Amino acid sequence: MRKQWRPHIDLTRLSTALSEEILAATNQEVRRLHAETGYSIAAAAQDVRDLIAAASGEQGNPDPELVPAEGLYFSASCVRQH
Amino acid sequence: MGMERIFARNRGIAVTVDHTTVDAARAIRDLSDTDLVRLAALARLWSRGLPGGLGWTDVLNEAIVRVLDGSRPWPPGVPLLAFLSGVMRSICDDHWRWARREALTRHGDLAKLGASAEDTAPGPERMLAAAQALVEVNRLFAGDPQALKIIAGLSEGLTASEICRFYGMTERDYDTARKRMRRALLRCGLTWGVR
Repeated sequence: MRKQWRPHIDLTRLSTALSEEILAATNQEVRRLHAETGYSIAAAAQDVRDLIAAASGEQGNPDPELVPAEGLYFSASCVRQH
Repeated sequence: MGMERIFARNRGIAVTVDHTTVDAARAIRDLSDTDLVRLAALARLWSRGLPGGLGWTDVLNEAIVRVLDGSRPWPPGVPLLAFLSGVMRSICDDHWRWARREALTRHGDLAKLGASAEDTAPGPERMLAAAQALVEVNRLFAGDPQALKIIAGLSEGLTASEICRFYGMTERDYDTARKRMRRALLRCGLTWGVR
């Protein structure tokens, strides 16, 4: 038995495990569960895209001058290759 | 590809951007709809109970800013969502530490600020928020005794095999319960409020 309960440590451990569950969920699982919320996944994703655009300083369509010359629009894997 | 530097402007300020930043920006831009809702669920998970009115959108915003300004470089071989999850976790930890220091300063406990042990010790606000969050998670799985056992084990830092051994669960029971947990968590993570 532990001498002292440290809820923040317990929560961090649990949150780490739960974050792995979120990462491990299949696309199909995410889509199916999202459908149950009654809110379109495309709309929810767009909300997050807007948030990311705001964080990266973009307003609507990005000004080409504001992005690196190489561009950010290429298709890329979600794991860096180098 | 090396670290050739190119220039970009972010919020009107000239900044240098290297390829790690470009890679991250490109990959973030290419996230699928399902990955974006996963990202929001992760932001909600880490930011629960944060003090000072900070919500998941603030945490996600800050994570994106840190990655795009190069202050948090994306390590090779790490999946993007796992990396962003780690950045958000770190932002939340930093915010809790900042809030602790602010509270100590406000209450005149300046002597404690220099002491490293006190500096890193969680404040009562964090302990309370964590306890409340644990209660909520337990409530979420109240009708599922096996999930509750797994949650107790995970909170103790036990591995899957240790949880099975300790609670007398078969591997199959464990896997099935984890899947139920994942579904419940995602359902909850997808519907938690904006703040």
